Amino acid sequence: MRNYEIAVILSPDLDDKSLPDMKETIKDWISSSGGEIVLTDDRGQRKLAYLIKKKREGYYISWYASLLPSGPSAIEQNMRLNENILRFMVIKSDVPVQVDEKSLPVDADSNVAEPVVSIETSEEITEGNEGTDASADQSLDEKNEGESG
Amino acid sequence: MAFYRGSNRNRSYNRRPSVCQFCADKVTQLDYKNLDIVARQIDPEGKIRPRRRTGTCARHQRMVAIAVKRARHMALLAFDKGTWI
Repeated sequence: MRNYEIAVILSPDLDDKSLPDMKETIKDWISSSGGEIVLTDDRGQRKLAYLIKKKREGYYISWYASLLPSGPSAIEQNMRLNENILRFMVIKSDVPVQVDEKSLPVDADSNVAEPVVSIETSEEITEGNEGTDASADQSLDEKNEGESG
Repeated sequence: MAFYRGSNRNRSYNRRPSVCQFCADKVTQLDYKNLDIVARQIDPEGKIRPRRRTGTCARHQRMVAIAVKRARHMALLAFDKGTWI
């Protein structure tokens, strides 16, 4: 037995009756292939990053289960034939550890990137106002004029 | 072209962080559904940001690449956001 995550995007057109039915059938596929569901992660309806089968939204749900080695191929075969499943993915995965929001990695690069933009904009301003130019900038301008002329 | 010469000369160089942010936080597994982290690893075009810019170590960059590709497959991230200017 190995730990897997079975992630599925269901069609947003499923109504209140057929949605629970759909979930049950997928659970049956998992249990019939000798799997045990450990955790269900139901994320609900969400906007898709791109169109899938001309749908803009999808219902995200994933199950964490331990399956026999033959399990994933059987489940994938069933999912491929069902039209209400927009997208699916069966991956080897343990149950994810809950991470504290405080310990998330801080993106240092984006903090550094902002001053670069401000430098470029401030330079444009100094080029426009010739009277307030620093001596270094003036020499730059003179060089540029000489080369272009 | 001479117009751009001045701005190129003064462009400051982005130093990459010296320590991998994931190593600093002792990350052992990265879930593709955790968009707070995974969405930060792509640039405005939707490409995976390179190690030379993020400072991520080789081991964690592999985890990032897998997580981003899984998130793209499940339509959590776009494959191509188009050109960005």
